[in-house]
Amino acid sequence: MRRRLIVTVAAAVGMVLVAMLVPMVILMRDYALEDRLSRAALEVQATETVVAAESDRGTINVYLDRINDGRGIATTVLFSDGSAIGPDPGEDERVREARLTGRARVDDVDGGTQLLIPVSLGGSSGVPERTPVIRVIVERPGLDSGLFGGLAVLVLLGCALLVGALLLADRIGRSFVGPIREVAAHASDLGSPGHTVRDVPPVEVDGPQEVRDLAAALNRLVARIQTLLDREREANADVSHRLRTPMTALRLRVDALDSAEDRERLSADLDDLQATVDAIIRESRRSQREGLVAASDAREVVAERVHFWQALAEEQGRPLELVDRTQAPAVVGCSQDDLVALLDVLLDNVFTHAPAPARARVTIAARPGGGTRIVVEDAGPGFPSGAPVVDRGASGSDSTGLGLAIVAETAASSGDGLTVGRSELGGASVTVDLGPA
Amino acid sequence: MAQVLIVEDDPRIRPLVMKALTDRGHAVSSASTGMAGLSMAVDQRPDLVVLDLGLPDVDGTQVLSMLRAVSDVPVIVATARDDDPTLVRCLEAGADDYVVKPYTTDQLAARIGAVLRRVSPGARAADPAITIGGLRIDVPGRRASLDGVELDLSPKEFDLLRYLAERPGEVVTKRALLTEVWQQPWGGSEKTVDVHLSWLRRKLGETAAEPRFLETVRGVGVRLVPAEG
Repeated sequence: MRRRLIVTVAAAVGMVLVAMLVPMVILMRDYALEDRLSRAALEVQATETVVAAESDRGTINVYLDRINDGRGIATTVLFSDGSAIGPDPGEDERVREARLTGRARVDDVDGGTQLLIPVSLGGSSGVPERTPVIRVIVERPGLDSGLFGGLAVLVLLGCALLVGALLLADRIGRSFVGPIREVAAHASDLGSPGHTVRDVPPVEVDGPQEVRDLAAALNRLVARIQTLLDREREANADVSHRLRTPMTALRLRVDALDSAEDRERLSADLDDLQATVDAIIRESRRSQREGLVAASDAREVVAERVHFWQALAEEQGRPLELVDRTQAPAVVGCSQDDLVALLDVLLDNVFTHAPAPARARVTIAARPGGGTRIVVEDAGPGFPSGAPVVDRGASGSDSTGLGLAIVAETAASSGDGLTVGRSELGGASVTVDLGPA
Repeated sequence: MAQVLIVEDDPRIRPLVMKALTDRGHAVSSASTGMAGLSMAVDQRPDLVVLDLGLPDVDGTQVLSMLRAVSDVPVIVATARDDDPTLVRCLEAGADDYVVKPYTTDQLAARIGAVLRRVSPGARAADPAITIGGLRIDVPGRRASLDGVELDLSPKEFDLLRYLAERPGEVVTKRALLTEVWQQPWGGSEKTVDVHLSWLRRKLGETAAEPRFLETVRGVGVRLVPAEG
């Protein structure tokens, strides 16, 4: 914004300067030309007097040498016998015409203006053919004349005006941009991964009224979000209480049943219900876990979880390998807790369904289109063909109860889901594609 | 037989817990509000209080703080809140143990028994730490050492070790560990227990093949035994 303001001011001031300076330069040049022509007219009068007095040519020569001082005016006397005194001798048609007609004339010639003034000698020598002609060439004023100084002053003045305008524009731009940047940084902090609205204090800016209004509106919005989150947290606590309290009563009632068969059957039903309730409570707490933006470094989490499971792998004599093909932290749009749960489910499945010493491998790599791919594979028997492995609770009895369904939900909410297949190690392969934060 | 005070506002749960604990031989009284529970705890001097946190008049954590100001009666917090900050706050406020709803009668009774054993006059007079061979577990301080060298245990590893150490020689199933240590009586994976046991073995300087304290009973569970030699 600041740059745009500066460019706009530069363009506007530039146009004004051009509109002012160009006519001024032309005017100065015209004044300079007029000044020369005035001087030339005076010189013509004086020369005419000298020539008309029929002075000898030596006198005329001395006079012309004096006045032809190289200041843009060159005076020549052209006699009818073809001789001439002064610079640039030689006649042309215009000189002959001035001589014969006896009328002075002014012509534009290369580099300036030519004045031709026939000098009437009077008496017997007043025959037109014998009339001498004074030729004065007034050069068009150039930079070598006094015009340069004037131009330099104008250019300096223009530059000073331009620089002054740009500095002023920059100062005004800063007064706008600074507060807007503060508000933008505040908004960015609010949206940064790992931040909650509580972590970021309200923004206070000192700038234009509109920006102050914007900051105040943003602060009100943040306060509103905080209120909503607080309400959500309270509601979640209430949901947990309202769901788990009757579950407790149910458990206790089932425990009190006399029939062992009924007790076991109802307990099994309650187990399923409990798993569902836990999943609902867990999902309702997502925003509390993740903050405003879910993010975690998949590279760090994968390394930590593989290290954690390595103890059991070594105890079982099972090679567990981590292949890290990332070059930098792989920040994904998934909370650390969810990613840990996801990896634990996948590794748990490996340890549960691939009998030791079947090897296992976890690969993490960057995806070409952005995001991160995690592959967990083993050399076990693989997934049974045709089994709905991703369905809730279908991952086997010795599992979290939610199994790959948790993985699928996490992957779907933060990326492109998961795919299951056969690994080149010979067993199962689960590929999870997570999107960037 | 112990005298147990149940502070629970839910009219469905309160009588069921009372009946279950009465059936197990305890003398049970109950209160449905925090202030009533506080008053009964002071007047009746029960052996143990089971305290719900979500009470209608005063929050259970405040009741716990007030109770601790006037009594050192053992308290088990029974709550639907399973978030770590709440549970840590309760333990720091003086709770002796906690159980997360929904719990079973067996689970609650087992916790009551464990707490009562821990605070029994004999146990209180002696060193509060559990010592098994070179292994010493300071339960209140949540620290453990082996042959005088302090062990660097995660909170879950400590809870696991403590639970097994409170039952030396007793085979404990992984499901029981999930229920009691992980508070996941109906979920969780036994592999989670396995991997924590592996880390615990490492830190105790043993392996599954050459156990010193932690013996795996194949197909049944695990038990903590005094190290030989």
